[in-house]
Amino acid sequence: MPILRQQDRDAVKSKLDLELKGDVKLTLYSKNDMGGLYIPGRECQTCTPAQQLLEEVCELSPRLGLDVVDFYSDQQRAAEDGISRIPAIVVSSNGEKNVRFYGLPSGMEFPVLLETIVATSAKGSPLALETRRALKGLNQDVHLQVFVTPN
Amino acid sequence: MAIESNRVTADVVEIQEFPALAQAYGVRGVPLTVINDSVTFSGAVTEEVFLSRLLEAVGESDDAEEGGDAAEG
Repeated sequence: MPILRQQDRDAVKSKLDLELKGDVKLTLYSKNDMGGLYIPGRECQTCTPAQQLLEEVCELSPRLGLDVVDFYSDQQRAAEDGISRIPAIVVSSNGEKNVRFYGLPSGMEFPVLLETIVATSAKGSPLALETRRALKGLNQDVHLQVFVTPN
Repeated sequence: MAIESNRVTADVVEIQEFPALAQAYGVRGVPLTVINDSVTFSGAVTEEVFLSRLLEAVGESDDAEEGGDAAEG
């Protein structure tokens, strides 16, 4: 059963068709189902729905690609992307991987994911010129963490 | 902001799925923003205020204010 209702799929497809300016890759760090085998400490209740949601979104535009990585068998890649927990979604374009979503992006987080995808494709944000100048002038790394709930 | 600068990495963290992380940052309400583990603020703020807080976190703000008005980081 799909996660996205038909009317939501239509709205998302329309937005992506209209607003995507380039290719965007979504990388989902998840865990293999392993045939339902339960391994203590490796629970991930939202990994499967996260993958399904991203698959449904990526089906809606040829500009979107999805790469699913098993967090436990590819720890080196996870470390390279700075991923330490799952599910994690990395939104990237041309190798730039600066935006990550931890957890299932449902509810009010889903539009945020879509806006992030669109902004990533355009390689630019709607921020003011002064803000963009300040950000480009940074001489040290900045780590933003925004804690949210789906509702 | 992370799209505009390679210096910036942005994480969106769903706290119900990562309660230990949320607890570690003392999250009591959402949205809560933490910058470089040093500047913390809650709620939605204007772009100007957000930038000011970010620059404060990296010590580049001329008019840095006290951070952490809503939760301890």
